[in-house]
Order: sequence, then C-alpha cells, then structure tokens
Amino acid sequence: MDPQQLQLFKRITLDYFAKLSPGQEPMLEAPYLQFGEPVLLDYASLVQIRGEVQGCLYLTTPEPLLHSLLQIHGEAEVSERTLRDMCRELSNVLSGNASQAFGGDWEISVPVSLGPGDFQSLHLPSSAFVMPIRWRGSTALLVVGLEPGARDAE
Amino acid sequence: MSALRIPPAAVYELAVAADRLPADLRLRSLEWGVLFAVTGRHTVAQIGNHLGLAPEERDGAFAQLLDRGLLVEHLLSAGEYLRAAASVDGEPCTLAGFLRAGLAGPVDQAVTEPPSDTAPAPPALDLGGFEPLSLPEEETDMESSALRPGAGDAPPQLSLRAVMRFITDQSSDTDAGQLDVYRTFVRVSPPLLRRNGITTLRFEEDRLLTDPDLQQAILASVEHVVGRPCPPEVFVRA
Repeated sequence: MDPQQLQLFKRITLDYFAKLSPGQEPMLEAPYLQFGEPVLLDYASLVQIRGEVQGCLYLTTPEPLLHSLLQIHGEAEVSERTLRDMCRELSNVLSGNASQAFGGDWEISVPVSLGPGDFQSLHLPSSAFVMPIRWRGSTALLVVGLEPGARDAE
Repeated sequence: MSALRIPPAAVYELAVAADRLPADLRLRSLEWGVLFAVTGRHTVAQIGNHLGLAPEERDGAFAQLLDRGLLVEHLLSAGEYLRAAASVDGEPCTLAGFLRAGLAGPVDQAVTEPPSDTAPAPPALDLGGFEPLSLPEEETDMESSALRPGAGDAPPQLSLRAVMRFITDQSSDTDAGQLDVYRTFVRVSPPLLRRNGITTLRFEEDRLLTDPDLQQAILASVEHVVGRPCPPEVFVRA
C-alpha cells in the first residue's frame, strides 16, 4: 500500500460526506494505531483487500451518523431496516472508493455491511490504522487493517 | 558462548558507529542493550550494573559482541585503569585476580591511596585525555543522546515517540511517515504490545518501553520497514 493510494482513499471518502452537506465539511481528526481488539462502532461497511499483503478497509459508524445520512437522503423512517440500508449504501461507496484508490494493485472483495449482532464472527487484523472523521456532530472511523503478510514478514 | 575472558574493569568502545551497523545484523536483545550502553568510557562492570545483568549474562553478551567484531577494547593508562578497577564491585577480590587485570576489583581506595613503602612509587597519574569514569552520582545528563551506564541500574528505555519520529523523518511526507509507522507496528506482536499496556498509539504520543523483547521487536521491525537501524538516540535513561 503506498501513501498516495491511502491519501486518495481518505480524500474521496471525505469528499463523499462533503458533497452530501455543503457547508458542513467533514474533519479528519488525528489518526492513531489500534492493537488487539478491533475498533467497531454500531455499524460497519467493509471490503477485504489482497495485494502485497492481505487486509481490509472499513468504515465504522455510530447510529447518529446514519440518522444524519438518512435525513439527508429524505428518509423519515429511522429503524434497523433503514439504518442497515444506509450502511449498505456506505458499503457501496466504500467499495467504489477502494477500487478507485487501490484498484490497480489490489484485489478488492465485494463489500460487506455489518450491523448490531454481526460482529461476533468477524475476523479483523489485530493492528489497525484508524482515521477518525468528524461530521455533523458524530465521528465515524475509517480503518485500514493489514495482516503481516508473507512478503512483509521476510 | 564465546570463551573470551571479559575483565569487568575493561573499557570497550564501538568498533563501528551505531548508525553504520550492518543492516542485516541480528543480535539478542540483551546484546543490543549492551551494545547501546557501550560508551568507550565505562567499564564492563558499570555497564552490567546499569543494565541489571548477572556477571555471566553480561560477560556472555560482551563476548558475543567482541566475537562479532562490534567492540574493541579501549586502551587505558595506569591512572585510567585504577579508576576502572575501582568501579568493579562484587567481583572476587583477590590479589591474583587484581593482577589478572581487573578480574578482581580493588576497592575505591586503590585509586587514592599510594602504594606502601615496599613498592616503588608509581609516576603521577595522568588522567588527561580520558574523561574519568563516572560514579553513579556524577551522572546528571538525562538526554537520550548521552545515554550512559552507571546511573543506577535502570535499564535503557525505548522512547516510542523518538522511534516514530525517526521513521517519519525518513519519509517524504506525513502520510507516508504515518503509514510506515503503521507498517512497523503491524509486524510487532499485538499480545506483546498489550503486555506492555499499549492498546492504542497516537503519533505524537510518547511511551517509554523497558521490555527488552518489545524493544527488540520494534527495532527489528523499524529496520525492516525503513531499511536503516534506529539510532541510539531512541533510547532514554530513566
């Protein structure tokens, strides 16, 4: 994974939120590393990636952020069904962004949407690069998780 | 272990500057600890005490480093030798040992007391050109660049902020640097990190690590990712 690819991935993800609500720009907060327990909020949109190493990219969101998205999309009903719909929408966005940023060098899986109760069987890399995105009073986390692959472990 | 004899009063210096060590050099963590503690002005005994090593561990590490050509002995004047021998504590204290060049440590007064009338008086000791070996209480410099043994027996601490800065300094921009820091830590065992209380890490945050296993894992990973070993300045003294 090269830094330009990661930079592009971050930028187009931020652009998605920026375009939804002009005047309410998303803010990227200080990134950090997370070890052990994966960082997961209420929902998550995830793609697996495979290239020089294996891993995944995911966007995990708190429920209030999905409420905001539903509101912007003109959806009045807030229920688990509509929240999951919104999460699926984010998964498609994430997958498109990942293909745009990493498409040349990486295989990108079909996106997966996860909600409450879906995380138990999920295996995520134990070290993650976490980029918090603050938008409309909520914080989503854009996460890169890489496994120490064969090439990396040489 | 090498059969080399390591006199505790001997003073060693690095044969190769730390930033010119071979990239593929692999040492045990204890040996890295000793290597980074070698100053060219402290005795084997002082370094062993500083790192809290048993004499056999200490001598084994020095022997390995000597065997691999990483250390050379610093030659001492008579005055320097007496200062050095006085730093040796807890070694077998016999005349025969003393005559074997410091394998037994004379006590402090050996430096200050003149020999008896039965022996010819030695020439005046010339300490010029060699900074006297510091006693623990004389060590006040807390800067990482001046990491020196002899200031008690606290092991050297690895500063994570210094390590992260070293990595980001090798990178073209902040994003690339942060990605390299991440790549470095991907290769470090999460249980080992957690064992040392590290579950999250911000890029400007500092943690001082004393666990030699974790220190070694991080240093090896930095070298793998960046292609250069960390400089000794990543260590600070407690």
